[in-house]
Amino acid sequence: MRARINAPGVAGPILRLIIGVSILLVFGLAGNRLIALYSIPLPGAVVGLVLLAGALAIARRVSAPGTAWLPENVAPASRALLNHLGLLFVPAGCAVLTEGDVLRRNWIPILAALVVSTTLGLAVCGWIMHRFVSGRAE
Amino acid sequence: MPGLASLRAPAANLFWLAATVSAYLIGRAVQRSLRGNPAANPVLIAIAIVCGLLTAAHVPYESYFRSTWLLTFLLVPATVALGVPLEDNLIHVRRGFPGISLGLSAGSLVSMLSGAALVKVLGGERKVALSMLPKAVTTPIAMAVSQQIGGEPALTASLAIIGGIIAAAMLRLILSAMRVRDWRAVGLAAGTAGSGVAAAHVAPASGTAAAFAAVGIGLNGILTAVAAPIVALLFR
Repeated sequence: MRARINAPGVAGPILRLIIGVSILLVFGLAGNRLIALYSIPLPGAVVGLVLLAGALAIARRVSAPGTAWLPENVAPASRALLNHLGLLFVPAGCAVLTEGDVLRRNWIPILAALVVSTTLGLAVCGWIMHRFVSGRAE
Repeated sequence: MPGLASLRAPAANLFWLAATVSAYLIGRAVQRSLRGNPAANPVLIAIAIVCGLLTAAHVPYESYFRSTWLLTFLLVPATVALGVPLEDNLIHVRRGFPGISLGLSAGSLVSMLSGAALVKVLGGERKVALSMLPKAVTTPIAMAVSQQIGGEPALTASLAIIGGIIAAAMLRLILSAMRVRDWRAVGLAAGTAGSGVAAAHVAPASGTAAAFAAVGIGLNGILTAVAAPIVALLFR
């Protein structure tokens, strides 16, 4: 992340994580608020994601003294959460326990659709991107 | 197992939180010992262990879910956190805009449409088709979208993880058969079709692939959230 300012001893690692998660929550709540206000058919957290990316892009572009606090505080918390993203949906994923009947009744369509649609998505996306970038340097 | 009945009491809250974290750590250890094989997915292993424990202890899913609310609560900041790697790699989006926007939206739409349509054609239930629709994107977004369009979030979570494993396993095979060797294309395809699981599979091989996979995950999450409610109308 660009535009680092020196702020010695502002926050230790754990405090910084708490601050970071709180900032992420604020963006998530702002997203929830926006979708409720304008009845946008999107998950609030996805709107929060877009808002955060926008705010970070602005902070990066402006790069005046004092604008680095957002990336500096958000980056460690984001890394911590994303490194262990899988842990966070274990409880929700365990609800398959209650879906046993559905899985038994539908396993053939599920398996076929998973394999075919994943393969098609990979092939279409990779091939188109390849046509556009091949022969061009990064 | 009568001795385990006490696990249903409120004091068991911390037990189930700790059990979930331990199951996840076991899953990671298993994957590490198999040298990062994508089939040994730590989340699937953790889900299997916890489901086994819940069944053995006769704990209803609802009370387990209540005692692990903290993990589910953190899904919102974790989803927002995806904006950080996306913004970090926005420079690639600006440089490769036509390829990325076309490849990503075509790949995303093909995956949504073919997944839900195949379930329907093969006689699957409507709820299953709608749960299949957003499965290519990163699991927390897939679950939120599934909830919104009338699918079953838990089913979508499993489909998203297994789809990621399939993508990681097929990636090299399919793309090299099509002579797609550019790391930008490989990374974008991995992130778009297989989200985090497939991205973790290509990231060690190339920093460029990792960057484009991050772009694929972030943008496909946004695109799917916007497009899935419209695509879902076809499967009402």
